[in-house]
Order: sequence, then structure tokens, then C-alpha cells
Amino acid sequence: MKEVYISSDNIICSLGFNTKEVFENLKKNISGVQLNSDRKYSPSDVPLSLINETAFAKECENCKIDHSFTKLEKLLIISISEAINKSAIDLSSPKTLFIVSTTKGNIDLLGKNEEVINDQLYLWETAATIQKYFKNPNLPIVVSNACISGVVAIVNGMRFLQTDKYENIVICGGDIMTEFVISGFQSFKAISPTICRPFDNSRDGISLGEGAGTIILTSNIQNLNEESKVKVIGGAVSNDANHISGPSRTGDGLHYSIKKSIEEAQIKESDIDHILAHGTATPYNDEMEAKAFALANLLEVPTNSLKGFFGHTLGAAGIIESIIGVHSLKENVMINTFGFENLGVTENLNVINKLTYKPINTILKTASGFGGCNASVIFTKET
Amino acid sequence: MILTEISKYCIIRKNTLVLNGVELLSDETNLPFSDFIKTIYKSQEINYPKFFKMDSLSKLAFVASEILLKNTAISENYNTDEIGVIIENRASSLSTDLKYQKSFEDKTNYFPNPSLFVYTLPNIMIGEICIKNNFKGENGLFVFEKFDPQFIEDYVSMLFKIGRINACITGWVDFDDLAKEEPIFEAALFLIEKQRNNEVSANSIIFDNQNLNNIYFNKK
Repeated sequence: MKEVYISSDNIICSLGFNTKEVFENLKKNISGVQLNSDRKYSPSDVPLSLINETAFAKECENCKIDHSFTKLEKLLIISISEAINKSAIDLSSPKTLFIVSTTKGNIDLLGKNEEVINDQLYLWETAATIQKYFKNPNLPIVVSNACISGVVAIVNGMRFLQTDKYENIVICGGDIMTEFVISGFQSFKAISPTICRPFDNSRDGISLGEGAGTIILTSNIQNLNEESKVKVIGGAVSNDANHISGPSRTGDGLHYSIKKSIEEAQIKESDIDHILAHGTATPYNDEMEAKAFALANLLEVPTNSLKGFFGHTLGAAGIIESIIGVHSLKENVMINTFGFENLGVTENLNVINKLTYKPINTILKTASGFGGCNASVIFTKET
Repeated sequence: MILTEISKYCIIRKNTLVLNGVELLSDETNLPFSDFIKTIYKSQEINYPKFFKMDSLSKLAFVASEILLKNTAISENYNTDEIGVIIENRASSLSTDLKYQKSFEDKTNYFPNPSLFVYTLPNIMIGEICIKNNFKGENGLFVFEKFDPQFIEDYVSMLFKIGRINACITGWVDFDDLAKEEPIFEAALFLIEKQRNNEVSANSIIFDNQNLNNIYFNKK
């Protein structure tokens, strides 16, 4: 199997416009989730994690992005541009492939003008816009697998690098805040009235966020900066085959995915030093995850959910949270679970409740979503 | 090298249902989609009450998968976690997205419906197929402008190669009624399996992009 390295990355969310800024805010235990009373989002007040509009406008100006692009497209362009600045990779090379992860794309355009159906609503069109902007010659891949999309995109990036077609994969993901998504989760009574509290015994639902993230993978070691030596070594996708909108009661689907990732990575469970869970803070999801980690013999591994910091960013979540994991590896520090106080799942999960400095070499990132889908990916540090 | 074959295929398009090249149903009355899909459901003796709760995209994918898997021993021959479902589509879930949009747009008639909202994700159709058949293996929903047989060959072959799957339901399922009065819909699902004893038999169809393409465009 070819080695797959992370060349560079970027995060855009309520906590900043680059990974460093966001990571520093996490270490300071700052959450970007705030109660919002803007009626364009919801008829009632709802806590949201939103990208700062003034800073966003400034970033657009800096990157010289004109108004023909939608908000999501601008976010993806800024995110990729920032990531590529730190990398030696040629985006216009036929050896470079773009993978776009999104659940709802430009859904904010829907209903704005009922007479005209905008091509920009189609996800392949969004991906083509990004591909053309960066003058890449390859047909981009769009992954739209609900909340696991970001992790699936990384797993697929690793897989495509095993073929000889590509040398570099640009994985970008994003979703923006819309009344569409908020009303949907509200209709499920799944949104917490406060900042969400993953794995806590008082957890009562998710917090939604918007964001974008980019991870650039390469199989060519010459495309790496001196410091970047984190590899993607295994990943898998699975289904619960249980319910379209409710997680499995047993956690076996997520467990399958973790087991296969570990097998592919050729490591043992005990090699995993840290887990970045999905941890949406809904009662059933977190319970399911705890059961899956128990089945996988991973209960003792320090585990967090980052949803309390920047909410659930849907198609960006798996990418943004993986990037945080990668930087935890680089800095040997594990981020705490914002909002967590008392364990509220039936398994004795080791939830991280304070910033923890400790040498870590291998991490697991998991995600689960509507449609019963689960995904996991393993990163390791080359020592 | 792993030899894989297209062991079955099912195509549903406007007014027609084809299984392994044989037309099972031809509708000359030009039924609207909702009636046409119900006609297939009944004529193929499918009995699954959850079908009636699905959105159009899931109904289309589900019915095609049922016809594809009928009289096969997939669940007996393979472990539940070694069966994959990998689907491509064009319009993701936009048809249901538009219906859902209308449920909250009008504030005098504000009623976002959770059972509609869940179908605003295109991978739900994969979930429906997995739930019905207890498939727990690899899932993937990829959006392309048009049917991309090369991607299917590359991706599904890779999953076989790394030993992640031993059987796969794959293909194209699309439903789009945004632009036109009449929906554009199409399902082309293929069952991919390893060849018996890893040998090419005389009547097997090798799983590659050329054969996927020929079947999709109905070329001999």
C-alpha cells in the first residue's frame, strides 16, 4: 500500500479562518456557538455557530473573489486557497483530483426564485465551479453521504491515491447555515436550547454550525513540508441497516467500520491513543457511539467531541474535526469536550474533560449520520 | 487479480422496466411516475409497506434493488458486512428538497415535517436498501452530471481489491422534477459479484466500464 500523507489543511468556522487560529481558540476553551435571534434562520431563538460576516467579506476581498460565486463556493475557494499556500502541490496538474464533500450545497438558493431553477443547486455544478476556479483538468468527485460525508471524502482520497491515476487529492467540504437545515433538525426536536453537551448526562440535542475545511493529501513525499509527516493509514464506511433517521441500538454498524479501519491500518486497538468521536449530543447518537467504542474495546481511549466548540458543520464536520485531530497529533495535545461534565452514556467512556498534553501517535476519527451510515478513518504520525 | 462480473442488472426508465436485457413491463398509457412505480411494485409482487412512505428517489432505488435481488441468494452467500451499496446520481435529493422548502417557507403555514426532512439527503435511498436487506458493508453516494461507468468500475473494483466487499449493488439512480412538469427519472442498478472459482465463464458479463456503458445505453 502506498503511503498517504497530509500535505496541508485549512479550517473556516466561527472560531477563525485558518487551522492555527481555530486550534488556538480550542486550546483556550472558547466556543463559537451563540444564541441567535436573526429571523432569517428561525422563527424562534436558536444557538448557532456562524462564520463572522465582516471577516468573511474581508477574506473575499483579499482573495479577489467576485460576486458571481455563492457563499458556499466562496468559502470553499478561500479554504482551498489558504491550504494550497502552505503546500507545494500543483492544483492544475492532471495528477491532482478534487473531492468535494457537502450535504446541502447551495441550498440557500432554493426558493429564492421559484420560476428559475438555478443550475447552481446541483452539487456537481458546485464542484465544477471549484474545479474550474483552480484550473484543474479532472472531473471532481462529489461525496454526499449526510453527516459522514467529510470522513468518507478523506477515506476516498486515501483510496484514490492507491491507484496510479493521482498523486495529490484536494479534499474540501462545506455547508452553510440555512433555515432549511435548522427547521429540519427543529422538526426532529433535535436542537439543544443551549450549547450542546456531548456525552453528558444532561445532553438534549445538537448545535448547528457552518464551516468549510480542506485537507490536501499526497503520495509524493517531495510535496511535503518538513514538519508535516502525518499519514492516513486506514478507513471504512458501513451501514447500520436499522433505521433511516435513528441510530442503531447496538452500535454494531459503527463498530464494523472501526474494526475494518483498524485492520486496514495494520494496527491493534491498543495502538489508538485518541478518538475524535462524532458526538452530536443527541441522546441516542451518543449512546450508540459509546456502545460501538465498547464493542471495539476502545472505552479507555481518551475521547472527545468538538461539536460544543463549533457545532455540527454537516459536510464539513468530518474534515474540520479530522484536521483538529491531525494538529493534536502534531502538538501532542488532546482537546477537551466543550459542554461535558458528567458521563451520560451507559458505557464507561473516557471522555476528555480538560485540555490534555500527552504524547500521541495514532488517532481515530468517526462519524455517523442519517440513513444509518457510519465512517471512520485513522491517522498516524511518522516517527 | 480478482475477476468480477455483472451477474444481474435492472433498468427502470419512463414506461419501461428491463431485467437482464428482457423487458418485464412496458407501459403504453404513459402513467405519471407515482403511478408507474406503484404498477411495477405490484406487478413484481413486492410487499414492503415502508415503500409507501418513501420519497420518489428512494421508491425508484428501492424497487430497482428489489427486482435486482429477487431470486438471488445474496444474503445467504455473503456476510452482511461484505455487501456494498455504491450509487451515483445527478440531482441528489433536490425534488424532495423543494417539497420540504415549501413546508417552512410560508410562515402562515409553517410546518416542517421530519419525515419529509429525512429524505432531503440522497444517501437515504442507500439506507432504505440496506435496511430492507440487512446490508452493512460499504456505502457511497456520489454526484455526477451524468452516469459515469468509469468511476463505478474504478471505485467498486478497488473495494473488491482491498477485500472490503465480495458483492456490490451499484449504478445510477436519479429523480429530477425541478425544471420540468414531468420528472426525469432513471434507475440502472447492477449486481456485481466475484466470478465463480475466479474463472471467466462463457455467458458471464465482465464487470468493466464498457459493459456498464453498453447495458446503460442498451447497446449489444
